[in-house]
Amino acid sequence: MRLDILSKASLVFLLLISAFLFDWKINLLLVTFLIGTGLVLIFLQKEHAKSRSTFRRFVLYVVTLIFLTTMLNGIFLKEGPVVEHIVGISLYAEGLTFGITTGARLAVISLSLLLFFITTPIRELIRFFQRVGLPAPLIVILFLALHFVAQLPVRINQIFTAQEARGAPVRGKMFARTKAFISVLFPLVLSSISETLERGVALDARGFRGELSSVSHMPFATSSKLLSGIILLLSIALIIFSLLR
Amino acid sequence: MNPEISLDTFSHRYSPTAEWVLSDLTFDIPRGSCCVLLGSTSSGKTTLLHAVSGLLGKYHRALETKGSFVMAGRDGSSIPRDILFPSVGLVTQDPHVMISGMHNTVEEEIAFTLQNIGIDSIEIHEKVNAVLARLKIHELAQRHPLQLSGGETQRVALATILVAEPKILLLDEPRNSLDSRGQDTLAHILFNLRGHTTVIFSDYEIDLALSVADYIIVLDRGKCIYQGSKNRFLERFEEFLPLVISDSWKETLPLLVKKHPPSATSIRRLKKLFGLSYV
Repeated sequence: MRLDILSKASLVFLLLISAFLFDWKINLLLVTFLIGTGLVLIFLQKEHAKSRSTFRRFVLYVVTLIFLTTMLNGIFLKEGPVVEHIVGISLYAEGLTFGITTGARLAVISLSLLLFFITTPIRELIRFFQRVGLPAPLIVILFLALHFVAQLPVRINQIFTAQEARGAPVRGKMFARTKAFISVLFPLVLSSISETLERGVALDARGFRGELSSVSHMPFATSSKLLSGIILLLSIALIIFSLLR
Repeated sequence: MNPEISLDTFSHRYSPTAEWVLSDLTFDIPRGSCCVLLGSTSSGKTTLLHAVSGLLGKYHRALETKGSFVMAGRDGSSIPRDILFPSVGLVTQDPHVMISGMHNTVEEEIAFTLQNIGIDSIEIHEKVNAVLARLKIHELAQRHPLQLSGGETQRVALATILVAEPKILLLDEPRNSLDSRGQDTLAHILFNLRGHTTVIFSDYEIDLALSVADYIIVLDRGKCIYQGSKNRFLERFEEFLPLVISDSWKETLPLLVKKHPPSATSIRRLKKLFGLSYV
């Protein structure tokens, strides 16, 4: 069974709520569940080669994020008893708990949003925004921003490949990668902003006057509305339960 | 001759304190002609195309102009202050920015232009198919518009504008990223548009100009140093050599001239300039 966009959006909402309501243990379980779901959805589908590589890289970032957040907070948030000494550095219990809670929370949020975007075709996303009543200019701005974000890793890769071809040490050790990344980051962001502006001007030149062909009259399927309703009720119940606890 | 665009001592700068970007331009572009704007980098080609399309006037409210800028079908003699699409269509220098990124297929991307100008869906389907066939890009119809090569993007960008059948078609360095086959197709399209569409394209070399243009304007640092027919240009072009012809063209020129013969006077000139006995 394929989930439609309304059900997916409701599920993402439930996951976002859960990220803030539950402790780090449940959030880590959710992270595992989301990675597992991603594996099933993407790795088993041959036509999603690009999504597969995006997802693989993203999982790596998420694991790094949780690890770094936990360790840095454990070292610098000096509250509670010392749990462990690693090469002369003390790790504090409160810091570790706060770090892993924050890291797991961010991981749930980013993984659920990533899964939503990589399993939803652009056209379906635009139709969804139209159906929920978002104005066309806002949808276009959203897409220009999304395009801007999506283009950043592509451009970084292009620059790194070009620099590598010139013999620059851009893919070697972590320090070399970081140094190369920082040096290209600012011009890259500026050029991407400039391209986004040009894209907006080009849309204007193609006669875009803040209107998209309307599909707002197309209703969502009853089953989809029912499922979304149940998910929303569950989200509300979770919030109430959390407040009363 | 009915001019589509007529400039009389037209000058433009971005603000009252800035330097003039276009200076004392005086020329007429005949209706239905294929006109090329030749010139090196920063000669003002893109600025002029943006002025005709309305982009310049719309996005630079503080700009200052002098002289007259008359376009057929428009009142007044100043530059347009709003986009004139679909009567005037512009394909920008970077074709990638012409792709909106909001559609999953090339077909939908091209149809988006027609949706913007309120064409009904049955007509959209017909027009999109027609432009795909015209540009020989039927095989790209179901591809994702953001996953095309440079040459393919260039052709799709042209299709997104051509589908609206503009009266004036502006192309900013259109042969960028096109291979020789793509350039031949482009030349063929431009050639076939003559008569019913006024085409103005910018370029920094003369091969495409000699193939398809019947009217040539040479710009140098914002000034018009030549305007007129292709034959008259060939008669005088030693004056523009450093601007529009690289050394490699001295070898290719004879073949082009053979393919698109200029007048007898021009041939004598070419012989004299390059010592080309076989022209």
